[in-house]
Amino acid sequence: MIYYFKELSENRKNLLFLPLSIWENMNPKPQWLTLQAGEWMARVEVELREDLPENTVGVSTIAEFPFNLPEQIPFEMKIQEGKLRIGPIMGILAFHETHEMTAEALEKYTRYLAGYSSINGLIYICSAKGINHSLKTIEGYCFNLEEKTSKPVWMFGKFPFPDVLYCHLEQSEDEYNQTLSVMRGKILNANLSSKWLLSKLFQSSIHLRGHWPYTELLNNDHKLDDMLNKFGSVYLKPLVAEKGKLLFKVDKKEGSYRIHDYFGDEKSLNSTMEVNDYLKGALHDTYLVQQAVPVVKYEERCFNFKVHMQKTSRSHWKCAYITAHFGETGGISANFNRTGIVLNGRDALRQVFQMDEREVFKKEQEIIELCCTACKTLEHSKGSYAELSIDIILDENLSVWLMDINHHPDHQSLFYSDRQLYLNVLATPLEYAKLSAW
Amino acid sequence: MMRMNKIIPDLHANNCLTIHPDVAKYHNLSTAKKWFLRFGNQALEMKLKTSSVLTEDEIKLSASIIDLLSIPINCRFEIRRENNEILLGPFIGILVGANKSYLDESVQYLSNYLYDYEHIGGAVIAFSLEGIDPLRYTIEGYLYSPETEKWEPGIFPYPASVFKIIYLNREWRNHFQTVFGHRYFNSYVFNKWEMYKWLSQNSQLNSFLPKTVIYYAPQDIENLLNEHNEIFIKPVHGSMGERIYRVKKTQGSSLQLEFQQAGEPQKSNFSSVHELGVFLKKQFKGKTFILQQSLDLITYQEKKIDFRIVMVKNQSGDWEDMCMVAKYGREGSIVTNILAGGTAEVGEITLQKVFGFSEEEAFRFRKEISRISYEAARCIEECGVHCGNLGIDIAIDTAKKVWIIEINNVNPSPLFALDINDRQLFYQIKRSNMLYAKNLAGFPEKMT
Repeated sequence: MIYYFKELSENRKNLLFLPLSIWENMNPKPQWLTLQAGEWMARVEVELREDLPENTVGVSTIAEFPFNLPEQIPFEMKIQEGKLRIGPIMGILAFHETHEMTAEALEKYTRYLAGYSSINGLIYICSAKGINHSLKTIEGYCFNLEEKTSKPVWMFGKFPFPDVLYCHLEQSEDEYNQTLSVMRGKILNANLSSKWLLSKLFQSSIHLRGHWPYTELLNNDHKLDDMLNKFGSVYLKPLVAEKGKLLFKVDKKEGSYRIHDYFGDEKSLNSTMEVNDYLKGALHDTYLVQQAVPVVKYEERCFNFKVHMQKTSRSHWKCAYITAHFGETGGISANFNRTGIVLNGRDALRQVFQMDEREVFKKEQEIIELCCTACKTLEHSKGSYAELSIDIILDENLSVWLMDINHHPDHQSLFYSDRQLYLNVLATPLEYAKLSAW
Repeated sequence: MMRMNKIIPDLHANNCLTIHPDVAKYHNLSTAKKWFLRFGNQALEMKLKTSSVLTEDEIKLSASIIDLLSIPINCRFEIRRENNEILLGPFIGILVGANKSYLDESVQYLSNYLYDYEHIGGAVIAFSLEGIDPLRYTIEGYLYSPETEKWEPGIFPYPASVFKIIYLNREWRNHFQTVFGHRYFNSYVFNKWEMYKWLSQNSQLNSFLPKTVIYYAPQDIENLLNEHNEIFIKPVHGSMGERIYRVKKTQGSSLQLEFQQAGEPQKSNFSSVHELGVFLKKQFKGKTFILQQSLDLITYQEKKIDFRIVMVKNQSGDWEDMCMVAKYGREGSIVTNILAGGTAEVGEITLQKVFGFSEEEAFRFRKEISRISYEAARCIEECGVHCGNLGIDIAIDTAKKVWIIEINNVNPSPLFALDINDRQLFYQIKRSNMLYAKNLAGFPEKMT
């Protein structure tokens, strides 16, 4: 059942007016109730107003709301144990600065709400700077459908802290901690752990450790050689990935070393000492040393799969779709730029590995099960996620390796290839957000 | 994801199950406690041990236990703790038919249920009613061998759960309920009238049901024809577009009947409902039939269209809406069944084609159909039928109103996925059936 929230002119403060349809079903009839909207709560006096339409709840104009509850928004309502809760109220934290919320930028989010009619409630887009910590309000734009045309519109307003905040941007550690400290409610898709913490987590799982390239902190002069003796070939990756920090690949064969850098330059060295000296000059920060998985290339291109995992509205992890990303010819990693190609995951399995339908099915299920386990393991230790995208590769023996996890996946490649799936994929996280908080 | 374990017969220790210490820790199994080992519907008291000599994927089991519980050691198993029992499984049965001869012929076609044996695992047997010995609690049938990927004949104990794809009489239903309780699914095959009665009680669904009455006397036809210009007459039990008649009043007071015979459209005229009643009695040979309001179905190039929603339960026991397939009838035909000569298409495409919907509109319309389907599935189960897959037939009229026409639950065909050329979906539906059976066998999806 949908309700609208209406301010009624009335001189008394903090009054809640209920229509007969709700009043009739309340036993005993309450004199006072706690009204809750998102994280905001207040004690209000309750009165029956028989002239109210059955789907309308009224509040006195001078109810002391520090925020707006637009009258056009269809709300759902929950009444239990002396509390009347309206919602769902969901915030999408999508920008750092308020001025970034331009009409054009908001328009992009309209697509996420194609399924709004089955969600309802107050859904707003906001920026980190729009959060008012003392008043516990957030400035932003809420979604609504125009009454006559059903056209989506974004309305500016000041809203209560939400039931659930869906993070749709990468925050700095400080920003993130600040958000965390003020939101008592649920946060979805918060920053992921660093690659090193992720490695430690996955390496301790009996289900995942054989599928995550073994990783150590490069914190002494023996580490690299130990790893090379074990695996023959390793990657050196910066602990904190930032612009300008480079990726290296080191191979050891019959006592001599080869170092490849990101630009394709190669250097041969003959002793551990030479290697350590070289690296001291090249690595300016803490690095990880990671087992290099022997990758299969296709027509000279490195490639990986992105497995797009989403939580369903029934709270289970599910694979929404898989894409295969082919890097530029001759590169040492599957990092993509203009010359990259994206294929549907199944087509890639058929084409690259010459698999028949049954083999494609089996491999895909294997990939999905592993990714499901990774998602659950991560959530268990880190918090709630509505979606995650996992980079995987298949090695020469077709074993599946998890390579990276991303919590703000981009679904643009679907926009042209499968619009129905695209809309579904955008809608699913909000459906889950509602389930998790309402 | 769970690990599948290989069983190594233990020829030395008696009555022992030995596992790797990490596995014991993972499942919170203490060797100091008393345990039963359960396989299917049998359990045996035994001693749990741990040994680091084993890998995490190996289980050592005393030969005596393997014999007593009839554990097929070429299968790979998961273990799971449940109270004071350690379950070895899953042990799943597929009840395929009434007779052994039918089973013998059809068993080879069941292999595609097990294409993802890696995640289903355990022992899967296929059997017929004839192969069941309810006194000895044994079943003669076939066991799937993951090594050869073939079905091997044998005599087996009762499994832990049963996936049933045939109709059962009341006596058998009682037997299955007694032995398996909630652990067998597609428990009861309901007919069109039962479906109507159940769903029409639900305030969220009754507006999606075309008016339906059961036929007792010719007057019933008259009454419904007074409300609706055109009605359908269908057998309460039939499926696949069999014996469906359309009746309408023509000028004067005569009635026109349209139906399909040997694939060809036929027409007959009757001067009164009584005359029609006599004809129907002969046609239905005393079997019950229903009268149903006819709908002004959407058409494309004069072909009638309705939709099949394939609903399947997954390993968590939740329904999943797998696909919507549009079924096109033959030009001028009164039914849309694909077997009756129609063709199929991905439903979302049809919605856009017929209504000129934008992508967003098609998406929202499809979502609403999905919502109705979930509600219908929930409602059917609330009425006491334990289902694992349902085929929901949905119609849309020219005013864009959605109608629930029929729900199939004997063994709704996953072949619809092939009609839209989606073999991967076909495999997924079959996989989900097995994973739900796995859930019922005591191995639900793990949350962490």
